[in-house]
Amino acid sequence: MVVGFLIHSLDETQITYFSYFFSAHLNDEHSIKRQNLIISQVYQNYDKKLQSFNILQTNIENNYSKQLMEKSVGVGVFRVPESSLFQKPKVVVWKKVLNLCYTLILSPDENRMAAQHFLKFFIQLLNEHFKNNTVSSKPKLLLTKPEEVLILIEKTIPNGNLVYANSFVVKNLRTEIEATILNKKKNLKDLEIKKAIKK
Amino acid sequence: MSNNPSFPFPEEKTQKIFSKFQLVVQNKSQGNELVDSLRSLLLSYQFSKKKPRLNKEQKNFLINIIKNPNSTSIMKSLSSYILRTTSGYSKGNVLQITLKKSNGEALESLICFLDLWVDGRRLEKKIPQILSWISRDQLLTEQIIPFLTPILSDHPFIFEKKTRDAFEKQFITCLTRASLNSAVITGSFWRQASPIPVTEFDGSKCIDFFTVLNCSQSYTNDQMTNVYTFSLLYSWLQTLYLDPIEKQKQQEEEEEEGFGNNEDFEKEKQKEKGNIKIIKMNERFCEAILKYCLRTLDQSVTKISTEQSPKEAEVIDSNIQEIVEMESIRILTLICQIDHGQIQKVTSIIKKIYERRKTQKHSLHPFVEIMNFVIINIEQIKYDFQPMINSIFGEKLFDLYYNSLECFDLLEFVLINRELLLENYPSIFSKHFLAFFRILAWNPDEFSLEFLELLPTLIHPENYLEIFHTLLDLPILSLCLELSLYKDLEKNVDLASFSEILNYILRKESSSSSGSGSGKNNINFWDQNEYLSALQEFLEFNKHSPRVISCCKIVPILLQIYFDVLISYASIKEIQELSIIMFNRYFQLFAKQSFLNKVQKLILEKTMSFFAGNPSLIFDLNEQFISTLQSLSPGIDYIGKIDFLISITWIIGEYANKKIEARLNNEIISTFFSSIEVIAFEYLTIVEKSKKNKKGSSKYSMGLNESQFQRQSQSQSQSQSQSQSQSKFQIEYENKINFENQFLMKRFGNKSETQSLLKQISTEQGKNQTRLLITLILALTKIASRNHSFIQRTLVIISKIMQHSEKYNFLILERAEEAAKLLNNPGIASLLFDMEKSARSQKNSYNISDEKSSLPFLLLENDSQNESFHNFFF
Repeated sequence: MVVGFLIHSLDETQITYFSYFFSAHLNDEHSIKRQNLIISQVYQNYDKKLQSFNILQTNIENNYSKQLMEKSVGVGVFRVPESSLFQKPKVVVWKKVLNLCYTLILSPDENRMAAQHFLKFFIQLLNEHFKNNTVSSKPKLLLTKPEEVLILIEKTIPNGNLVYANSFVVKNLRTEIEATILNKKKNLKDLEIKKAIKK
Repeated sequence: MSNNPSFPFPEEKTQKIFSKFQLVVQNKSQGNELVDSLRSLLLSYQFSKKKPRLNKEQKNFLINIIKNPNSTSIMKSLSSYILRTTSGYSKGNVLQITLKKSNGEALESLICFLDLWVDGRRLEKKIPQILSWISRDQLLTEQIIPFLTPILSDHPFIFEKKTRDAFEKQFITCLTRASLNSAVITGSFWRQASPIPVTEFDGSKCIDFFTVLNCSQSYTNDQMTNVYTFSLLYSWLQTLYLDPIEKQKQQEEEEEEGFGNNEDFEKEKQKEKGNIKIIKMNERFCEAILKYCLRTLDQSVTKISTEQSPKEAEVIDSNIQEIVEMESIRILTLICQIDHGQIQKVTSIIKKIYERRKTQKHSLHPFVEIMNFVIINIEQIKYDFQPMINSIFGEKLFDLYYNSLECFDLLEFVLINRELLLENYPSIFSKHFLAFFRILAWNPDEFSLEFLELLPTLIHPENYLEIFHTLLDLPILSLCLELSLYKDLEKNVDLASFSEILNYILRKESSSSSGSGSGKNNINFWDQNEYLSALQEFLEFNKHSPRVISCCKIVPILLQIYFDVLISYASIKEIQELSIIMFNRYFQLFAKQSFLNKVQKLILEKTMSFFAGNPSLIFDLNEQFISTLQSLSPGIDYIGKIDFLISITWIIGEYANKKIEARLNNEIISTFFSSIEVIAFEYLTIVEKSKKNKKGSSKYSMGLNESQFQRQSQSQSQSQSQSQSQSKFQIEYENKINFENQFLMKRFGNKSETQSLLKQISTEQGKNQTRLLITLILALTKIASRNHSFIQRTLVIISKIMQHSEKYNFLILERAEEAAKLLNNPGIASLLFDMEKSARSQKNSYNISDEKSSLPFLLLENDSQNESFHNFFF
């Protein structure tokens, strides 16, 4: 099960742009501490990988190796042991795209490959939804419509379930997300009209 | 809202948002005003340092939004998110309010809040209602099934047999009877589009029933339910079937181990036993899952039609084929654990998958799941999976060290199943351990936790020495992995010599597995003189890589674990061999100061421990000790040699006793004594001269030049005059200082680092000299007390100290005085220092009877004295 999903920056600021905990137990007074702990661990791992890569990249001869290494810098996984903040151990899978990092907190027996797959198609849907392939470089754009990001998360990880989505399911989800958001616009219009009539 | 939010939100801003929301609540506002307020509230939960709390009125307002059929999905989602975020505070009271009415409105609210139900007992009462809904309406089923995952995680007990059967009956329908046509899309005003049949990935019409690997142009509710049910299966089977079985097994094991003596404990266990309810799996449900998984496994090799899927989609689809294959194997493995009757059937399927996969270039994930199935059912499976093990650990893993996700999966698998793997495939650890070190060297920060757990499993009688070298050389392995990717390498290093080292460090096969011998030779490249200069040059190159620095940090921690395993499990012979290697490697280390300090300190500590457990090492190491003492210059103390010297001297003083080790003869003891005596004289001369010679006033330089001179003058003919020696000494001294400064500069890089190091050395030296002199006096006294012919020679040294008492620290004088008193009463000295072997502590000696065993250390019987301290499996 996915117990949490975070969208955050991956620099010293470590800003959380979006956090979603699927388990009622994790939505307590420690949830901010919990998310900060995870983000700082992701940042540390990423930062060290990046520093090593920066030294390496100018010296790597083979382009294929370079691509592989570059790819490996932007993704990671680690275990979170049992602690006062996490009653049971967890596994964190993260992926960095441009200025943002997308982090999943999983129960240890979750299919981690499916988690990685989810991150890929979630980012793709996010780009498509905001009609901007570099939406991850403009995190503040997401903050203008946080409710739409919320719908995206709810549809793609319903209650913490990783969906085994092929390209047709992804397409279906895309249609459903757009329909849900459009329905919002339509309903809002209806409500405004009703209000106006009442007046 | 502001387009430029500051992080975190200032408290005033949060207050303002809440006041605005309170107004919205009071006015029961709708439309954009409501959405704006909810949006701001969501952001304040994201960005406020402290999460604001909602009052009852506000909560009810949000609940009403969810219940209101006129609310938009966005409004409902925002309200649900805000309530969810604060649920940890409200402890699920939300639901009590919501479910007072059992009308249609409650239904939607219930669905929205199912996972927020903290009180599982209350939720349990609503289960019949939920079941009646899902059996009635596909749309509701689609919405409810995903909620089962968090409920399973938080309240598994509510799924009693009856409830479970009812849900499973529904799952069978969801899994096997989803529509074979896409949802009908309303075309234009005058025409409705006809239903499009579901297809396989290759574009052909769906040949059997619908699965996650089928393609539907527009998904119907039952098709989406099918997808969600497949997602739920693993946690359903794990939580409701396997967990109770494993709990029961664990309890039985604990009972067997005899924990049940205590009455209270017994009662507690009985109570727990009553709570564990193992229910046999419904046959029809089991069959449906098997059928579904088999179908997805067949579909996972279907060629993807490029006509049907554009290129981008093709990537997603080929990915999902592999992921679903992996998930199906995971589910089948669970089924076999729950119902052993399925093992034979599933084994033949797994074999086919492996045969199919082994020739293709695929990621490690499916192989990990195949191995997991094999190892869990190893007793029932009659198939040789050794080639698979060899291929994965001996080949595939070596090239995947940079892929942290695949490595993580593999490490987790190995850690969870290490006992079974040790018993059935020990070669994974004894022969292929280098692959694991490669993963660690590349990912030292990510996988340090895993490695701390894994290391004891890797250490075997046939590879423990090689592992010791590999651990010490871990920063070099990391460096080599990086350098192996470099272009223009020849510009930086002597490629011919370097490639030999590179090939050795990056070898795939362990030295112990190649060749018929013990493999304990030629595994320390530091001993190969022809490589040393290349090595030094090579180590200077890029030694500041963050990856290398992280490796330097983790090695001392891993070494500690390594020694703990050896102390608990190794035989005397193995300890002897390791001690010699430890001694040799003391100065053969990666040149990073903090790494050197920690590792050298640990080596000395453990050498002491080994001697305490096995004093006969004094004979095995006598040649190394003597040659080291004779070659050491007491002035050279900047790289930790003074500690080394003190430790050796102390060990000799303590254990150079024929009653402890009968193989020690007079000649060896005499050489020990003479070597220590020379060093003691050198030090005394240094101290004396340091007071006379104002020119070289630094303690550091004094120690160095005098010692050099002393050695030189001893070896040269006595006819040379003192003045000649003095001038020669001056030249030697200056050369030495220059050489050492250059050496330090080369070793530690910049000038300031070297100078601060020299300063530190200078202040530390006084302290170290006192420690060394005390140890020297004590060692000589101990040897002399056992062999009285050395008493006079020791007293000469002591008298030399007493004559110049003003030059020595009072601690030295006190020890010297004590030693003199003791040696003047040889009987008392013998009583103190010349003990019989039996009087010494024998409790720490290593008593492994089967020294030729090739079993992994963790499977050998360990020293019962240490059992409680080193339980590496749990």
